[in-house]
Amino acid sequence: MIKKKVSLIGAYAVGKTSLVRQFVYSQFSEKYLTTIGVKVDKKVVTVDDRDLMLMIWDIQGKDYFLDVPKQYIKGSAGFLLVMDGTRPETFSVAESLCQTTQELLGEVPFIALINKADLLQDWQIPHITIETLQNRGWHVLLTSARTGENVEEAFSVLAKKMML
Amino acid sequence: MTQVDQVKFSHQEHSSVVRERTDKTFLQAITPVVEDAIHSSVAKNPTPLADALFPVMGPAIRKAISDALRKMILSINQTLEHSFSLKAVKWRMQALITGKPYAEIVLLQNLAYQIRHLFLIHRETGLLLQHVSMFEDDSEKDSDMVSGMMKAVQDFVQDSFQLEQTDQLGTIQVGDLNLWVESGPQALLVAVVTGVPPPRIRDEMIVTLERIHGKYARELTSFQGDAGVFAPVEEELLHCCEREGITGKKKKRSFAGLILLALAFLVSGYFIVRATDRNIRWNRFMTELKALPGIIVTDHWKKGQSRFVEGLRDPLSQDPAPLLERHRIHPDRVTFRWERYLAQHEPFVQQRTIELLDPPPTVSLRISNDTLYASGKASAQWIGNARERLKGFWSVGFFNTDHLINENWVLMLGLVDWIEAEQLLFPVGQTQLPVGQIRQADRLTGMVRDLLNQTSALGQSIIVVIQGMADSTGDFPGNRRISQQRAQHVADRMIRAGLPEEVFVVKGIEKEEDVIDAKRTVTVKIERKEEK
Repeated sequence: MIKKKVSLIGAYAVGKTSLVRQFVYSQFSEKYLTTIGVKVDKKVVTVDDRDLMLMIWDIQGKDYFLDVPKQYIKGSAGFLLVMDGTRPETFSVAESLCQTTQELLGEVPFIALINKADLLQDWQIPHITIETLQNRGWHVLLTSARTGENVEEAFSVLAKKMML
Repeated sequence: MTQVDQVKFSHQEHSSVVRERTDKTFLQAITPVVEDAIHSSVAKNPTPLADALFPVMGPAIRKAISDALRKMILSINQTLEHSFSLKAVKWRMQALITGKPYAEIVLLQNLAYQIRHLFLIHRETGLLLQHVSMFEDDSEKDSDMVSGMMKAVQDFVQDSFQLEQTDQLGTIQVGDLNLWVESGPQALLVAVVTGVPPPRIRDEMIVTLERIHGKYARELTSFQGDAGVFAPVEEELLHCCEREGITGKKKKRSFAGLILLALAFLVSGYFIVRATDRNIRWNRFMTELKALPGIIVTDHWKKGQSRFVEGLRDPLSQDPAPLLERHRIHPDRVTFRWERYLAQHEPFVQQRTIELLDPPPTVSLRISNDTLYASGKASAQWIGNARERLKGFWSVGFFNTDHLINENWVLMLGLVDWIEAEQLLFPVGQTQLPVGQIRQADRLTGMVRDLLNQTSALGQSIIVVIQGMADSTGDFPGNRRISQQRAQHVADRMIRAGLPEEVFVVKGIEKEEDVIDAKRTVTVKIERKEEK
């Protein structure tokens, strides 16, 4: 079976761990536990009738004090760049993280996820922002770790891109 | 040799000489270039060269080190030879019987370990390349997760302590479990070992890792996630284990020893549980005892098997004996030393008040804050006595009788009615009682005297108001004077008859409107003097 390392990257508290939890265990918890370092999970997905094992590295979010260690990102065959629709500052964090990651990994596939779609009424970003990201060539998905919206989709689209 | 041959030979000789010369020249020519190239390559990035040399250099360095170590072990061996203990005697016997060196026996006895798993992990991605498990019962399904987390832990340590790329986490130890990590340029080899593994396992791991790097250099560098190409490595890993005789040694424990151990454990466990249980029961008892009203524990201690409790106890408080019984504490083991005291606990105060005042069944008493509320019906005498007794009883500050009906007052009310119905009549213009009214006036005096006697017995005071009246004949000032003189006349008579002067209030008419035709009278009104 082919195995690929996938990283989740983004600002703190955007819902990276919750996305992985939803994807791997179909669970969601309201509790917020900050990730220190990294947590590795595994899930097998099927791409064009072929099994692919995703080793998912849920990496600590970037905040004022904590950077995202490059060490963790190394060796990723693709990554999910996670933002929080209710917090506009997570978009600029994502942009700079995306740049660092691409410098480190080269042109690997990634999907940009705007998480917390269940709180759409609280979103703080103008609709134009999403279009701007798409115009840049980013594959953007609106996800919700709570309802599971587009979570499966996000991982399977990334898996497909990595197998090309 | 023919000439041709000679020529041939000399030509061959010549060409070989020439080649030798050219080779030398060529060598001389390229040596500085190669040296420069190596220098600049190392200066730029030493890793590729080190990686290339890794499979060759490792064994050579190790050989040199192991020679040095062997010499050291020899000297340790000599030290061991001279040491003496009961265990050593046993081992020496074993060495004699088996014909093996003593040091080897010592080592064998000290090493009890099992290699449970070997993981080969791709260094950059943390993906599992190959895994062998020596024990079928150990679940293999999470080996991918284990290898991912292993790599993550490595990265975490490196990131947290800002280590160099070359500094790798070598050992993780959790209880009896050892994770030994050996790092090559492209892959990590992790051994999960229980017990006390000998250091030579590390050597075996390094050898295996070097061999894998040598054999699979290309596959490791261009690894794209397909671990299938590393399937043959399983043999290599198993082989590594076999060389170590890795099925391991299980420590033999004597059956009798186990039983003894279990027995000792049970016996000591029993005593610990019993002692703990006893303490728990005692603590619960003390908590409940301290919560009892009228009991204040000032000190308690334990002496041998006996316990002592010291404190203050109200005679009305609950006996602690049943509490002991309830907590299954033998009363003989507990000695109480109580000082008597009077608790201010309201039910106690109430009970003590009841004992003190001995109220009739028609009276109910209630204590709230420091006020005694009495309600119901009681005789004037009981009320008076109660008031008297409460003076020396400091638990009650106030005596509230608002809802207590004085039986005597009930009787007196009839008397008051009688008194207030009486009218003494005066002739026109006269301020002295006519003879015909004397008898009636004396009767009124007698009734007022009775009333005063009764009220003073109750400790209560009344005011006797003597009201004089005049008719409308004549002018108002004159009439007012006459009315006052009539009242004074009656009061004087009563005082003369022995009634206390201070209870009387004498009133005449005060306003013109009060004058009523043909009303030349003196009447008596009784007012209750409010107590402070």
